Amino acid sequence: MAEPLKNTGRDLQGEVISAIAAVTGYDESDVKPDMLFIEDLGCQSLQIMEIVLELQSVFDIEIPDGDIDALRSVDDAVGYVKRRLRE
Amino acid sequence: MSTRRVAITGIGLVTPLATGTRESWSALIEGRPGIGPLTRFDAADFSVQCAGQVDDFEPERFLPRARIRHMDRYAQLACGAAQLALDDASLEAGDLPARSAVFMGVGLGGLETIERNHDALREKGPRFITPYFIPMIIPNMAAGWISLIHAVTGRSLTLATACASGAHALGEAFHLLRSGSADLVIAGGAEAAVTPLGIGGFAAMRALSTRDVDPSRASCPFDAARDGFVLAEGAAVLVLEPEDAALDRGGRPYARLSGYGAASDAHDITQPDPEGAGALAAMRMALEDAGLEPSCVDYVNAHATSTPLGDRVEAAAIRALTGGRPVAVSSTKGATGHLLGAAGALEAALTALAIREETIPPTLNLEDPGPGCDLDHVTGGPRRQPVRAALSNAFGFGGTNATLVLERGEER
Repeated sequence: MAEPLKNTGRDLQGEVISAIAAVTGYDESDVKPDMLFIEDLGCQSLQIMEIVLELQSVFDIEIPDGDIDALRSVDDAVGYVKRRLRE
Repeated sequence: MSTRRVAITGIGLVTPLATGTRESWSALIEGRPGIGPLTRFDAADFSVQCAGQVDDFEPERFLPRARIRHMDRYAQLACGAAQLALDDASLEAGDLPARSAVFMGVGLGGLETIERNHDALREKGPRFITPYFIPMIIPNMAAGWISLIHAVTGRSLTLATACASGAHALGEAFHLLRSGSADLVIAGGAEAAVTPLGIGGFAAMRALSTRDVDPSRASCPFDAARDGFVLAEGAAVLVLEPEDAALDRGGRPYARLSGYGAASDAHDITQPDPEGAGALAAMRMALEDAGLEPSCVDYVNAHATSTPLGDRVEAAAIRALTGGRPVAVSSTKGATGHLLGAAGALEAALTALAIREETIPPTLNLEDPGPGCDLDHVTGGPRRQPVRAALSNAFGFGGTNATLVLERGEER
């Protein structure tokens, strides 16, 4: 079971970047928080779906289709994961 | 019939013998087998314990990391072989004629990806299927990726004729070039079915060798001890061009592809016609296509996979073709195992190398020809012999048969 997430000092930004790097093939150090998936990381539509899949898997959350369009950058993804884990 | 001649100007091999054309050929001629213990997955529960694995293949050598994860292994192997073939033909990005095409033979497609995603579906649920699942498993993605990577904008086609796929791809590419409808074709075959379902499926048919011998000795085409084939993976890609154009640009073709025959048994879904009717028809048709008599043939690279029935039937068909005249025959599957959809392309490539090198590769592990398998077998080592014309056979489930004719080409 996933541990309670508050007060664990978990580096959510680092974990999201790590997941995005794994999917896109970039080194983690090249993935910056302000980067846009399509414009900066060169993602194609299926790769964004793959990032969504990876985030669902890593953080054990379900991301509804309606939320996906709002995930345009690394920061968006970090904020979204934080919000969902607080719920 | 058009007189446009078609030359093989580049060969890329990613085989259980080695990754690399020269490396694969050397291993074959030196008798170093490509078959070993089955290690690509935990096969403890399986009756089959050997396979022809491409253990030295490093996809990073040929492909960017971000692409590798969006390709099933069969497409990765295909892209590696295509790169090697274009390098071998001294063709770089931007060198390809506008009317270039890609024809690939693939028997199964992305089996490993199907298995992994089915596991994810069962264990975690449908949300965990990768969005790349469909574009990874469809069998036309070997041709698709080759087209994308090398900017080939002509026709991109995939032939799925089981174990004859690679030969049909080359044959159809040859006819396209000869007709004048293309100026270069990247053609071959690819397969990566050394997976639990691939091994398990063929094992369930009792098609695979299970005898308790050193894995490197399990594949023994035409031998009395043969008990099934050894499943292998890999890719073979050839560059085909009009011979004149190839020579004009300073190329040194391996051989000429000059004939193609395709015929069906219409007998059974997996068993060959007992008289080898389809095989014989394909060989005769290919020779007629090349304008050659059977007496011109110096070498036959047999399909012979090391199965009890298939090898015997092919031997009978070859005898019927040549009328008893001795013709050198070998099955390179003794060394490579059976690459399914890539087999026909690999064996055509090895036949082209035999013509260029004037060296006929042996049937590894053939010591005692079984009943009905009498032929002029090349065994015990390669045979140094000029080859004017050769046949390469490939037969597949569904009763489909393909034969290619290769000849020594013009040199300048």
